Amino acid sequence: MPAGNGRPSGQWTSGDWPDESSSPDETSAETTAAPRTRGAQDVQIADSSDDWPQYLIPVGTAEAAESGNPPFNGVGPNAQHARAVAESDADFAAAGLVILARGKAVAVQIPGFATPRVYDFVALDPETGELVGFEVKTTKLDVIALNFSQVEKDIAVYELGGVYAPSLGGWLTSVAYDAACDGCENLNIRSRYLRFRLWLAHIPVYTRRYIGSMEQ
Amino acid sequence: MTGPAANDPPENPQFSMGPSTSDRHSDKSVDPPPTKTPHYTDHIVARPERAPEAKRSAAEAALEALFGGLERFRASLRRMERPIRFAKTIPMPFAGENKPVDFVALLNDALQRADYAPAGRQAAEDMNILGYRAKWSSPDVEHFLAFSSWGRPNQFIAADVSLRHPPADAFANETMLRYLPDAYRDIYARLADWECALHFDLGGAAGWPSARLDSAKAAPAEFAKTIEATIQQVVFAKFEDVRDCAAVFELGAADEAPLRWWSWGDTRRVAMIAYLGRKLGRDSASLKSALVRHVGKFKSPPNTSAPSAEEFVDRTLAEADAALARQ
Repeated sequence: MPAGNGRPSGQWTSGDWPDESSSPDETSAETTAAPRTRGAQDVQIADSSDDWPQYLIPVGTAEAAESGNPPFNGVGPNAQHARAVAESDADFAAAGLVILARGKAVAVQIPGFATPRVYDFVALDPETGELVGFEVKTTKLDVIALNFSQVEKDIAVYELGGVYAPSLGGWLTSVAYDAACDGCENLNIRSRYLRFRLWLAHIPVYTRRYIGSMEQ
Repeated sequence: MTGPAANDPPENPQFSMGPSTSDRHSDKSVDPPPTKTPHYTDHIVARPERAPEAKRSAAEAALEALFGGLERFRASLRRMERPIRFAKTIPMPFAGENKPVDFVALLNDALQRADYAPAGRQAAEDMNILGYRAKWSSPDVEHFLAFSSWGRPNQFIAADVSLRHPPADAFANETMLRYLPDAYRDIYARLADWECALHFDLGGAAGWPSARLDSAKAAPAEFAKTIEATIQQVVFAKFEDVRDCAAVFELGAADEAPLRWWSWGDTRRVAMIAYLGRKLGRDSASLKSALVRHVGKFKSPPNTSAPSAEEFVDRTLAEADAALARQ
């Protein structure tokens, strides 16, 4: 309830409510016989009209990220994500892949799509000379959210048998996801449909339950 | 290195779409990454044709049952891709600033001082790319810088330096299209001016940490100064004198940092150098011997055979001669 309304705490303050001293009959007569005139102290707390969305204030992701308030679930998305990307590329480098443009997101044009697909990093298979695009998904105590535009582009890579990336001079033939959640018992990857689409295309989703150091 | 569940299809695809439970951290002690295995992508990232056909059919049927009209649904997804809209500003967090600072204005000012003019923008997902053309470019050689910023909010900066001899780059792109499926016409038609055959990563050449700058670690003025200083140290020191066809040829044909040839081949650059070499009257045999080892793998259109590296260079040299004769 709004502060400073002069009433004891715990009581509703809407003027639409009957006066505490009035009887049920009087209330009924008042509300049905004649609309009550709003006084200066009356506060409307609900709007059931058709244009209720007027009270919504749309906030984009970027705007929300720039609000200045720390996110409830840990450090900002960039710090968390950058840590996971660094750990992921180190793991795949240890497995023998060559990480290209380390530390730099890579945009790859895919036929049929207006905008490029941006991979968190691209790795080279030194034996075949082919490229692998890696998408790192991170969260903290929350679900891993797949993006349908990204997933569709990834599947297109497979359907085309690979895409030629002029900026890298090679064929990007494979895609992999590396999903990490700090503090999750099990990873919850949403949406179910997109996860299914990835599985159907044979695009692997590696998972891990921690991202680097939990102290950060 | 990979958990076995990473790509194993579920037994019942309709009801076992839960999260994969493999944990690479916990797996590490049990199954350390192999140090040397050929054809890494074959086991790290499986290819679509590796999926057993029977399982694919079963999964498709399950998906159809779950969502109905799968192809219709898929087709609608691509239409849902948002059109590209460029925001006038790119708000970016900086050290010591309570409010985000516009990166576009900051970069425009910094590059104006370095004698560059805006050359266009690209946007993709969370990435913005700002292109700049050097005002000191000569009629023969154009110099570009492209800055990409990404993150939520935009916080990381990387930059590419590229230069081109416009007719040679156009020839290289046409050459690539002769050996690529038609779908790639779309991509090559959309290449920005700064996506040249000859390019390198500015941050890597300058030794930026992780080859990128982090805006949150610097004040705006300091950030702009770092960019300007890097351009002075890398671009002006090494490439300011590259202003004619011969200089581009020498630069592109050599294998020196920061313009090293990629170990996996760079077919577009091969075509560009072949054109420039023939334009400068270089001997075809010596060009071929120098370029043939840099031809990358091909994936040619269906029902055509990919040329060998020798065939590609021979044909490209002949096509370069024909193109030069038409001028």
